[in-house]
Amino acid sequence: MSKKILIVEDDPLISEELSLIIRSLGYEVVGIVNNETDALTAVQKENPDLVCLDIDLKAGGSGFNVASKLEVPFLFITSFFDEMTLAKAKDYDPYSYIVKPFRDIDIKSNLSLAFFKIESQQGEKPAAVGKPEELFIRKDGEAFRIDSDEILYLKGEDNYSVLHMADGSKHMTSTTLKKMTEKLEPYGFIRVHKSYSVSIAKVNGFQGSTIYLTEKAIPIGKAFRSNLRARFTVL
Amino acid sequence: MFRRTSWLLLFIVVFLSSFAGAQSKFRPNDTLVIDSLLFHAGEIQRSHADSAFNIISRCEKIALETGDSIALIKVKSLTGIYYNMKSDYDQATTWFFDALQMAERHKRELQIGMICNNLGAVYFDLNQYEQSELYYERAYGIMDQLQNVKWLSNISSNLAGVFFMKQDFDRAIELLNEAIEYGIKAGNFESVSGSYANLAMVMQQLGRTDEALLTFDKGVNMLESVGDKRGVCIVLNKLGELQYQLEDRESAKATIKRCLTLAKEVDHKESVMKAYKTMAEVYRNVNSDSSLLYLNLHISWKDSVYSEKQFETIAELEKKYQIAKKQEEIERYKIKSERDEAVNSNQKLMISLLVGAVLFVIVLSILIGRQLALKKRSNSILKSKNELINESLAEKEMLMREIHHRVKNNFQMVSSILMIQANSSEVESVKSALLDSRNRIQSMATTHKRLYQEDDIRAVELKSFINDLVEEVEITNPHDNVEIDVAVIPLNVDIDVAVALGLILTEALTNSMKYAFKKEDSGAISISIKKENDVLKCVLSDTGAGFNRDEVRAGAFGLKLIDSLVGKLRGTVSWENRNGTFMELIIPLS
Repeated sequence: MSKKILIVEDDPLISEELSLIIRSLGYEVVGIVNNETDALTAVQKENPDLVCLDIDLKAGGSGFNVASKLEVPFLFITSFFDEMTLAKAKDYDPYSYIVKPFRDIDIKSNLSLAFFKIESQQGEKPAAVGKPEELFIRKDGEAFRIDSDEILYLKGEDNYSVLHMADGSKHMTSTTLKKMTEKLEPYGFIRVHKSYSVSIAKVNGFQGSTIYLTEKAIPIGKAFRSNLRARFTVL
Repeated sequence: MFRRTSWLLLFIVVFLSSFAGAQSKFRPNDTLVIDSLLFHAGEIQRSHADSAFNIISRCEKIALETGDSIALIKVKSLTGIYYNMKSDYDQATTWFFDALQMAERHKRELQIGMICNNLGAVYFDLNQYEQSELYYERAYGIMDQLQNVKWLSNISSNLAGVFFMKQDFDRAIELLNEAIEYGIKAGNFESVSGSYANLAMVMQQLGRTDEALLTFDKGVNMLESVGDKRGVCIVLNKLGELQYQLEDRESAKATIKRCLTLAKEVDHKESVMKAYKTMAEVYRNVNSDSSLLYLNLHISWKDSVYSEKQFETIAELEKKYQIAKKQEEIERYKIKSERDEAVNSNQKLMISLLVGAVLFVIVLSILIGRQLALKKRSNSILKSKNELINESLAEKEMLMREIHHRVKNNFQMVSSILMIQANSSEVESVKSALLDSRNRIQSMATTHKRLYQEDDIRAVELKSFINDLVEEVEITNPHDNVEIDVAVIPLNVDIDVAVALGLILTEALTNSMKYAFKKEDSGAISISIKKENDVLKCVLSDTGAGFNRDEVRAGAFGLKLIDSLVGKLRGTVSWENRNGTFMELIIPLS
């Protein structure tokens, strides 16, 4: 059974293109609406698996308003990819972002990401169950503990790696990125570049060959692209 | 001479600030006050040497009264640093030796190590490298025993300076690497940034330019990853200088621009000042207007650094004046009591003296007051002007944001129209032509999207832009057995050049992917972009079937598009068959 998707977008040309692309990827488009009221009615009626939601709805209401009333998963579509909008959008906890102007591959990878996260949360994935890995980091000669689910991404530098945490802090370890990633792989981490590994649960969106975390854009290395794609096709 | 001074500067940074930091570690409970005073003095010593010296002298008095020998050792070391900064090396060594003797008497190993390091630095300043090495080695031994990695990193870096001067470059490199390692371990990133810059300088001195650039890169990455922005500024400034020396103006410009943005963000005035100076150098002989502009900026920042110091001096003067006034008062009371005792004999003289003194004080205070008021007024004018500039900048940024938003939406709409039309077309060739055009529009859109994600809103970074573009073409035209090799220099190019070049490469690459290889063939495509003098040289070659340019001329839209884009860039393009297609594109960078 194919996944049901609702499109909320006020520009008829863009919504038409979006629906063509989404259908060609094998999903079912259960509706195209252009304002807040119709969006909520359509969600009631069709019960979609995912809503693609434009933030700037000129035809009435705003994507943020819809988002705050939705009980089904959604992702944001926007051409405002600046810090202010992003920071605000983050509060609504979308499953991904699609940034205009988009290409087919952007739609494909962001939908995959959204469904990957949805399924992880429904508890089917081993990554979501069990305790997060505890790591011990040495700093100023003292060892202290951190949880793997607090980590956003890892950056490798020569023989050490830097852990970038959700709260903005950083920790350095004398372990290589390769070893660190192997250790964290069962907990939803994946190598995406020569010098980067990310926690998939913390990914906000894909665009071209870039991954977006909360406040950081991380490049996807050519050699790791197939690895990343394989991870999503497992779904 | 130029190289020598820049090396030295970094050492002093490491040596002084670390000393101040280390002060805080030894803090016996009963001397908390004097200790925190000394710590404060260490902190401000670099920026406000004289105020620091005042505090230190006061601490000396207290320490002598209370017999606090540990505090006295610190006082003596700090006084030594003060004189070292004033280049009064005789005084500096005297104070350091005094401190050293005391520390030895009380067996304070850590203090001995620190003082030895400082003595090493003084001898380094005096070009007496043998002596300098001796003291650094002793300091190193002590810190090694104490396993104090923070200090080991500083001392290794300093010691490397000695070997650099003695032309023992291998040893210097070894020590700098050690310093970096220790610095990382200790979290002493100031030392790490200094060491990276020094390491790069050594490489440069040895003529190993590539390695020098690489080292700079590493340093910047490392410091960025730990968020030490001031360190990044210092390293970037040095990198810019080097790139300028190598006559790579474009890179130097980009580096210094980056340094400027960062330095302004963290309000590191000295870096801003230096960056403008380098910028002025970069533009010299090329664009005298820009050079003049940057020189002016340099001078005005220098002024602001300088005027802050001036302001401090005036405040200092005022404090001194207040003290003098109090003393006057005490004097007056004394005079009064004496006058009571003595029977009117010297009264007249006393009074006239007193009046004279009071008059003097009044005149002095008026003068100082006027000076202060003048300073204040010019500061406030400057401030309101700055506010005005910031406001108009913010306004401009908002407008740009709005325009960008519209441009992006329009691109999306054009892409949508082409997609919908392609979908409703019955004829396969029409459909594919429409989708090709949609692809071209999307390639332009990607270029624009990049532009607004980066700091510079007029230029695009070529290397990552081309890498992304190639990946997108690859995704649209997948071929399992074709390897694409991309070698592009890092360079900022104007948006007009980027859009056209992006379209040309998309056409040529799509052509190779689609037509040069059969489905089961394997092969390679290589793209390289280099800068030669004032032109961009861009080569795309494949190992596929090749084609005859003249035969396909008539019908091929892609080739026509390439020709007109090349014309727009005032460039030239040539095609050859060299075991496959070989396209060479020359674009002038004016």
